[in-house]
Amino acid sequence: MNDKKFTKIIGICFVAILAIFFLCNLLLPDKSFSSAENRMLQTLPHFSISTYMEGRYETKLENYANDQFVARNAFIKAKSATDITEGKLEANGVYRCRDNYLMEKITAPDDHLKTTEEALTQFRRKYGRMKMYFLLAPNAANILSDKLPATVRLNDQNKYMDNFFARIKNDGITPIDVRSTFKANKDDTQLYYRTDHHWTTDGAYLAFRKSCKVMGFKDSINYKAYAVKNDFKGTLYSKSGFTNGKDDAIKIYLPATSKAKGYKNSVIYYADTKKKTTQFYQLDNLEKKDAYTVFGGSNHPMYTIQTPVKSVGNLLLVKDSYANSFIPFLAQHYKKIVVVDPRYFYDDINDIIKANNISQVLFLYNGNTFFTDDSLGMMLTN
Amino acid sequence: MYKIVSNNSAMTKIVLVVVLVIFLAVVYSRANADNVSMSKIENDLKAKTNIETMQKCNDRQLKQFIGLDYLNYDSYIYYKSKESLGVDEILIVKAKHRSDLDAVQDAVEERISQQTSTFESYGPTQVSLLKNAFVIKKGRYLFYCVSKTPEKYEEVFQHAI
Amino acid sequence: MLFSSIIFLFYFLPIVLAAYFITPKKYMTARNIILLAASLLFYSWGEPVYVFLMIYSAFFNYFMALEIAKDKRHGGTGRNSMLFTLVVNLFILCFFKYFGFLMDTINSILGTDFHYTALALPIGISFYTFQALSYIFDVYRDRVKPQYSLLKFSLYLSLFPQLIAGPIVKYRDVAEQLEERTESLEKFGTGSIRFIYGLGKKVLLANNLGALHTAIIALPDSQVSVVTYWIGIIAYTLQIYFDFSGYSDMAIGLGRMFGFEFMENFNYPYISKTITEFWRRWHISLSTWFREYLYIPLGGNRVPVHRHILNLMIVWSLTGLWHGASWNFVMWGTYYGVLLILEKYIYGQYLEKAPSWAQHIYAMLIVMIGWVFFSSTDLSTAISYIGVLFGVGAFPFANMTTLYLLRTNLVLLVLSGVLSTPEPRKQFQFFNKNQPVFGIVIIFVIFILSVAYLIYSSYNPFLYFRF
Repeated sequence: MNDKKFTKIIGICFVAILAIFFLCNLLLPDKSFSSAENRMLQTLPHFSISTYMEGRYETKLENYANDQFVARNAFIKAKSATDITEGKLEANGVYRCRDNYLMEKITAPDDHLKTTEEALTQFRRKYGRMKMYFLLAPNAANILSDKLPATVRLNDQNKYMDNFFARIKNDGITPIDVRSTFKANKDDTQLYYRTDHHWTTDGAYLAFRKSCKVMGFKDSINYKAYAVKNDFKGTLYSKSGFTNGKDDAIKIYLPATSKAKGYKNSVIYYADTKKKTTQFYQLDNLEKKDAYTVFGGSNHPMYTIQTPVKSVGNLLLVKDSYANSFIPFLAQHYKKIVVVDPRYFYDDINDIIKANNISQVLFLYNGNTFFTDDSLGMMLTN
Repeated sequence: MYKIVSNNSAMTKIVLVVVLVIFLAVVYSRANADNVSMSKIENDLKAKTNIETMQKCNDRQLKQFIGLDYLNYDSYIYYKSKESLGVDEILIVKAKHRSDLDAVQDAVEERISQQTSTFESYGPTQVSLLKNAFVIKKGRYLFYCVSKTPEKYEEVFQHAI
Repeated sequence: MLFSSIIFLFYFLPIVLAAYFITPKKYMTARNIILLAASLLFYSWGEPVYVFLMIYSAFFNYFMALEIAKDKRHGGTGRNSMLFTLVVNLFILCFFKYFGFLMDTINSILGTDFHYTALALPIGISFYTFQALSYIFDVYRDRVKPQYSLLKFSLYLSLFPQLIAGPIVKYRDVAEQLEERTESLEKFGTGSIRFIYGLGKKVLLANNLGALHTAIIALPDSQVSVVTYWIGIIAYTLQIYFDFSGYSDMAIGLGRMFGFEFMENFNYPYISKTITEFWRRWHISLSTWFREYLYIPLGGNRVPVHRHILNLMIVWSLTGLWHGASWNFVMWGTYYGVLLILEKYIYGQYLEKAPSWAQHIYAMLIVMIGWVFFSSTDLSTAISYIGVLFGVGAFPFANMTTLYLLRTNLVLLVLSGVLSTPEPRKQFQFFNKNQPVFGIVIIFVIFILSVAYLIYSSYNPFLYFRF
């Protein structure tokens, strides 16, 4: 083929590609939600002279062009694959680690932490008679740091945790430190998901056993673990685009026999949807993209759990999503638990405490989320 | 075209210079805003308007209703109606950089559209007030107001900066 | 609007190409109007308000060139009109670009604290101002006939391929092409190839090299090492070449699609053996502009040595200033001015006799150090960075971070280094003769992969909302 023909063919192909994509984008219907990214996609923006002159229309239309591009997910996968081929180990803050693990980098505390710590001190002083506990869970990149690629250096979460625990201990809030338990068990138990930033149910249960010791109750229920999903690809997969080889299994713990020693069923009442249920586990959610929601408890500002057991009082549980797989174990030890998520809860926490006769408080967070959280501080100081 | 213009060439040159100066002046004044403190603006509003009939809101409510994190901005004033079905509110945000105001404007527009859907079926007065919401950017400030008389608040704001 | 964006590639460009080529060839004016409208839309997309400034500049310079011509017809030189035009153009440029710089310098010299508001810089103003000035100067010097069609002149000034980031197209180089030009499938094809190369350079290479450099300069002191900082400046050196030359490639490619031939702006600058050679290969359109319209009128090198040195210093510090409104850019320009003087008068002759590899290393070291000044926000940052490169300060030679960066970027760095030489291109052209189908596939793989990277940049997982 001579040069002329070569260039002519390229010219034709170029126009053809432009035309094909132009028509596809124009004719195919717009999508409103991306399940992979868990966000709303930009829809066709409304044109007006003033938004055009300010430049806002242009930005929105560009986002629209990007968000609605045909075969978007395929292109994103192609880019991730190229990255891996050229040796990239990290995308969007998530590292490809040994043993098929994906791990998120350790977040350093930001300015919000000071506010949160002060709020906790004030809150503790106000309710001096109550027993307060704080379970701050370490993240995978901390406990399983030996699985990180050899050359990666991350922030030192242990230093942040040590400082934090020292401070709240001083205030009178009892820290629940599961790090040594985790380190002792990390080789024979899978404590964290490979593709998700949460701890596994096994990890949650180990943390619970440790909490029993600190909070002073005996856990005597025999549980059996059942795997309810074997192809779970969690948040870290979505965030980075890396598959890294192995999917996860999600396990649920149920009492070993139906009349297991003292096991009592709970009643869960969601104040916002006004729904009542006795099921902690919402098995329908396993089909969703975010299968971790099988543990329930997501997105509710507040809900209550009542279990007919002997208990030392009513518990207020202030949490992030790590607590969702922990709650079923905890419910066997309190006749009433009020669960609050400060990211959605905007009422007055003091009213809740009074109305429910709360006598103990447990805070449950994971390090990465907690160290940059702003909602806990705001909720406590209101 | 050229013939007309060249026959009055001295005139054209003067017009050209004048047009340029006006354009530059307009561009400059739109971007310019004095660096005034939030408390001065707030005092002006308290003195010259009925802002004290509204409830002053804090960081938590800024996040709850407008969805903004106060740490990302230099300072703000946020007042909201005391009535449960009231949509009156005033928000003035002073950003650290002009470019931050885009996020603020997006948040405010989202707020207006959410409020509008909430009151769509049973609150025609509220919906019409929302439709007339003022959203103004000047320098590093964004001014958002829903009220029967937003102009009053806007005037004080413009005067202050 | 950027060339390297989905909205340009798959919305703007197809529509403009369709509108342009559907219009029959004989209606050249209609085609020019379409191009002008597209160019103004393109410009206004990024700068809605400043498009009026662009239109103003087009009309103003169009009118003043005709005034100069009229004055000459009536026996004058047109000098006053030319000076008036020069002053107004420079005033506009300075008002937007250098006002803040001027105020800061005044404040620091006089110790005052005058307040001012820094205005957003109209995109491309440095480019189109210089293009307009090339026209005015050439009309004044009778190097070119003035353009009586406002349409054609506006098209010249605002032509979207080269409006935002060059090359700086002198009016007289395209004067004829505004009147008459041929578009052909073959030209369109070579234009497409050029465009795709440019897109790949920008999206696949430059953007990723930029991310590497940004990550390195953000490292806390505890993780810095000598080798890491060398990697950082190498990454920047490669990034700025691929970014700028990539954009010029896209501009030239797009121009060719519409029948325009623009001059080359880069010629493998990193294979240079001397600094003098470097500036014949880097940003060629700018250095030729300064040479023709400032250096030679000042006397060039046909003056006594001390005056020649002065000319060089003036031209090079202004070249630096053109790049940005701050002292580190002026330093960067002056740095090159001094080196060119040294090469010309002091050691140039010895340099020529040195072995090739030594000349290459000399040139690249000078260039990389120059880029440290260019990329730093201020002088002290630049100096401390250079210090680390040469062992100043107790930084380790290499550390874990160095290994990590090398491990995850080696392919990128090696590929970029190789592609900055002319060999791969020659080999590829030879390859295409024997395996044309393969060659076509490779070119379109570059294109599709670039599109994938562009789409990925909008991938924005927002996972925690649901948690």
